[in-house]
Amino acid sequence: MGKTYDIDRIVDEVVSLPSLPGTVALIMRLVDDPNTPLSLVAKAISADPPLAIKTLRLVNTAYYGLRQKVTTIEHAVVLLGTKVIKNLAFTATVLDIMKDEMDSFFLHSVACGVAMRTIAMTGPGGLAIESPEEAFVYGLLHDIGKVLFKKYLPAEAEEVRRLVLSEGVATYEAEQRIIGVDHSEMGASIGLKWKLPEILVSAIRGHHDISRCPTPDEARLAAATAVADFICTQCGLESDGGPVRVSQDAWDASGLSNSHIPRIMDAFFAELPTINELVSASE
Amino acid sequence: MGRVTFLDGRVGSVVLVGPRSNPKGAMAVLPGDSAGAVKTLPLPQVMDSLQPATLVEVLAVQERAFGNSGLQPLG
Repeated sequence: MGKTYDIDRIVDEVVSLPSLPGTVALIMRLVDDPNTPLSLVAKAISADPPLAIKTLRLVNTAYYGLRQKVTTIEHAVVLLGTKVIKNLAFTATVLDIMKDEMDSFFLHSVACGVAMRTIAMTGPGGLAIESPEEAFVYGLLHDIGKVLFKKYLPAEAEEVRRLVLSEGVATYEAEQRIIGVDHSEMGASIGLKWKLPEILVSAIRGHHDISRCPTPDEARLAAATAVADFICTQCGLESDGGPVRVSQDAWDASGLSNSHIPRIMDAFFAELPTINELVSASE
Repeated sequence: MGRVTFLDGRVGSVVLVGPRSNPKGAMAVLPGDSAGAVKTLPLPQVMDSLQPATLVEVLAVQERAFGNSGLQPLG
């Protein structure tokens, strides 16, 4: 086994965390200011044509359920509101970063986003989010740390994959053994760099170990993310073939009981076509 | 689906024979009252006795085996 890292060393010496594109950072700032007019948000997105095109492609998928075709960002902002558009622009950006990854990883991330949205819409509630679309972002981002490992530590990432397949250990456990840091910690580092909300960063950090979340709200979101991950894996939409488990603490923190699960699963099965549509719209 | 441990400690199994739209599409096989006996019950009747992870697994496998949502079939 080669050398291992701690999170500070890996960020300082190995991994160059990608910056959030300026337009998306600007959109996030604008939307967070309640005094920002809708037109300004639309202008900011339209000023970045590739982002505007990707956003419109996503807007027009069945996932967003709009009955009419939307051809301008201004129209999309009016129909969906700035918060949904913020998540959409952010989603378009993250999908762009991930799209060169293995198909299975990309599909798993989108599927987890859809599963999280389904949990938010049909579960017991109590998630500290503004909308189901925000839940989508939690699922989408939860494994983003794996992208960085694959890019900056390819030999170690391959060793992790081999260990997962040969010994059947969970990916995050193999990462801790071989790299010293797991993808949840790595993903949280990007979240910090991108100045994502603290609760989202914490949910990414805690999705395999909710004791890493300092507040009950954060633990509940991390737990819901773990359940979304588990549902996708059981449905054959797994990321890397590693086993995924949900601890009893996470089940308890998620607030999900057996009375919710069939509803969530049925709603998730009904959303499966939109997963493929979202993946296609991102290519 | 192999051995399933229920929340009350009983060990049985779940047999999948059809889609979820059929109430008997998944049957739990449990130890009966006398030695060697077994009883079978439709899944909805024992749902609350399953671990949540087991319930997710059962429903996912049932959909992959018998559903029409387009999930990748098993193995």
